[in-house]
Order: sequence, then C-alpha cells, then structure tokens
Amino acid sequence: MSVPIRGPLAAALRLAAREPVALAAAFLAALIAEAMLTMQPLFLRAFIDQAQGGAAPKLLLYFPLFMLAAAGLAYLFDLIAVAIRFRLQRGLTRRLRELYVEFSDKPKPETTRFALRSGLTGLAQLALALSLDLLLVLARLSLILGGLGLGDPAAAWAAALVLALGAALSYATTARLGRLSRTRELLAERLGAEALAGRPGWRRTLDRGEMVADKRFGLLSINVLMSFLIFRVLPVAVLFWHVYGAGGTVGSLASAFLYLSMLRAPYQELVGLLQDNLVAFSESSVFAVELERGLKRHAATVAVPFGLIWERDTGPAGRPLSQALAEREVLDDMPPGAPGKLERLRALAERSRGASILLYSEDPAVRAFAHFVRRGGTIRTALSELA
Amino acid sequence: MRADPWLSRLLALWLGSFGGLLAFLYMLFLGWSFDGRSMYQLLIR
Repeated sequence: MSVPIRGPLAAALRLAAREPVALAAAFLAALIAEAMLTMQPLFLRAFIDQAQGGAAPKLLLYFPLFMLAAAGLAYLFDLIAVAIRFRLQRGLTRRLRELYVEFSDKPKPETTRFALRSGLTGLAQLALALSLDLLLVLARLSLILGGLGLGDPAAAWAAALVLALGAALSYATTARLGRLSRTRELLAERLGAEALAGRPGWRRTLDRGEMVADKRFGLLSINVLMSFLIFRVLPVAVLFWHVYGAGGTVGSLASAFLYLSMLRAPYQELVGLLQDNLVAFSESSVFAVELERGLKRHAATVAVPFGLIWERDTGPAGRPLSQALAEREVLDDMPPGAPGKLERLRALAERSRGASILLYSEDPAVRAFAHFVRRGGTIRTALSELA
Repeated sequence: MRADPWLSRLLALWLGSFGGLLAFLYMLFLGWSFDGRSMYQLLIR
C-alpha cells in the first residue's frame, strides 16, 4: 500500500466502523439471502428424486412452496442489505467531503474538483468494500461451494481451487494492466515531444508502445481464459466425472450444474471488487496527502475541546484554510506586526474558550495567547513551549 | 456521522424479516414431514 493513501483509508475505515450494528446487520442479511438462494438447488434435487420415485402430486406441491418462501426471504434480506450499504456509503461520503472541504489544503483546483466529484466517493466505496463487500462475496462463494459439496465434494474442491487461482490471477493482471496503462500514457507523451522536437528516437518509442499493447492484450486474454475454464470446462468435467466415476442421481447432477452456474455472479463480483479497489487506490493517491493533513487537523481540534492551539508544524502557505463560522476552526495567521494583530489574537483566545481553534503562525506574539501548542503532531500545553 | 433515521427503519425491517426466517426454519425442521422425515432430511438425503 502506498504511504499517502494509508492515513485517509484508515480514517475512512474508522468512520465506517462507527456503525457496527448496521455493518453487522448488512453482512448477516446478505448471508441469509445467499443461504436462502443456495437452498434452491437442494429443493430441486429432492423434488426431481421424489418425482422419479413416484411420489404423489399433493406431496410434490410442497417443494415449490418451500422454494417460493425461501426466494421471498432471500429477496427481502437482499433488499435490506443493499439499502443499509447504500445509506452507509452515503453517510461516509458526506463525512469525508465535509472533512475535506473544512480542513484540507486545496492547492490545485483540478485536484479539489476531482476529490469532491468522484475521488472521495471512491475512497468511501473502498472502505466499505474492505469492511463489508469482500467478506460478503467470500462468504457467498463459500456457501455455494458448501451447497455443491453436500452433493458432490470432489466438484466443490475442484471449483474452489479453480476460483482461487482465477481471483489471484485476475488481481495480478489488473495490477500489471494499471502499470502498463501509465507506461502507455508516458510513451504517448514522449512520442509527441520527440515528434515535435524532431528527435531520432521516435521509432524506438513507437516499438515500445506496440510491445506494451501486446502485453495488455495478453493479460486481458488471461482473464477471459480463466472465465472459460471455470464456467465452461469445469461443468463438462463434472459430467465426465459422473459418467466415469462417482455416478449419482439425475437430481444431484442437476443441482451440481445449478450451483456451478450460481458461482458466476459472486466470482465476477470478486474480480470486479479487486479491480475497482486497485483503481480507487491509485485515484485516491491524487488527493490523499491533502486529505490526510486535513484529517490530522480535524483530529487536533477534536482532541482539545476548548482552547487556542498554536500550530508549529509548517504547512503550505496560501489562503485561509477555513472561513466558516464553524464550532471548530482552522485559521492562517496575519503577518507579524500587522495592524490590529494583538486585538485579533486576544479575540481568538477569548473565542477559543467556547470551542477549539487551530492557528498556524510563526509570530512569537501568539505565545502570549495560546493555551496549547501542536508540534510534530502532538499537542502540549503552551507552558511547555520554549521561549 | 450523523444518525441516519433510515438506518433505524432498516434495522427494524431486519428484525421483522428475521421473524419470518424463524417461521421458515421451523417448517423446514419440525413443522412438516413425509414418511416421518422432515423437509431438511429430504434435502440432505
């Protein structure tokens, strides 16, 4: 994990963890929905076997009734899980945007626009993906493989092995594809520069660009191959196994095929999660440094409920960080000796008795008014500050 | 994060649905039988 993203991701995960009941409810609801759906092939198998055994139609009616009840419960719990996840993501994105606008530096307009438009949403999604979605999709796959294993243990183990291989390969290829995309962009820029300047190396740049395109094609083909092996070859292998090996009823064969087809959606979801997370990782690094600094400032104002905190860690110069009349403020100082400076500091110190204020300053005059000093990330009382 | 009223409603719906799940499980294990076997026993053979 790159260093700049670690802080904001940890903060986003902490924010997500503030709703443990909702997270647990969403997780359990999704599991219950999956368990209800996973039971469908079992009912089907029992129905076919009883029908072949000559059971009365009145008895056979109960199987579709149970299937309908299970499907209804699956729909209800799935709806609840998705709705909770939507509300959690909405709240998390809102909070990250609030913290970013109020406490983060905004040196480049395009970075700010990107962060507020989609970057922070991606970070919120990443946090929820790591705390909820990934666990859910692994639980779903385990349930389906468990259901498959009840009728056909060998097929379940084979499917689990192939799925794990496919997911690992997909993650590796996506990471590699990301690096290749950046290389391709750099090469395109270099080609443009060489063409404009008339430098001789442009043919070599063209060759390298084509090599990168070939590698991309190869990597994308690996993903397609894994999909083919899991969802085409494996079911046929199960057929061969039944004919030449395990035997088994028509019902168990039908339910095995149904389980293998049910694996497709969660597997594609897992691959999609891994790919999206990698994209969100690299996108978040664009604004991660500013966001992390903003989160630390927010933490500083929250750590001290009342008082004027003199910020001694030099930050980037620029416009004031906050012009809002919020309960907690972060302010740039006026230049030393500016008219009305001491009155302003006095007013700030007075106002900080109601709520904490973080003040950036290199003016020694602040010492007389500050209650706390923040240096190297830690807050101490102003008495400990050397003259 | 501010308290979300919709989360409370969804949690209430979750509890209600859980009651339905318990009723389903009762029928699966105890409430119905054929030849002395419950539906669960028919499923796992």
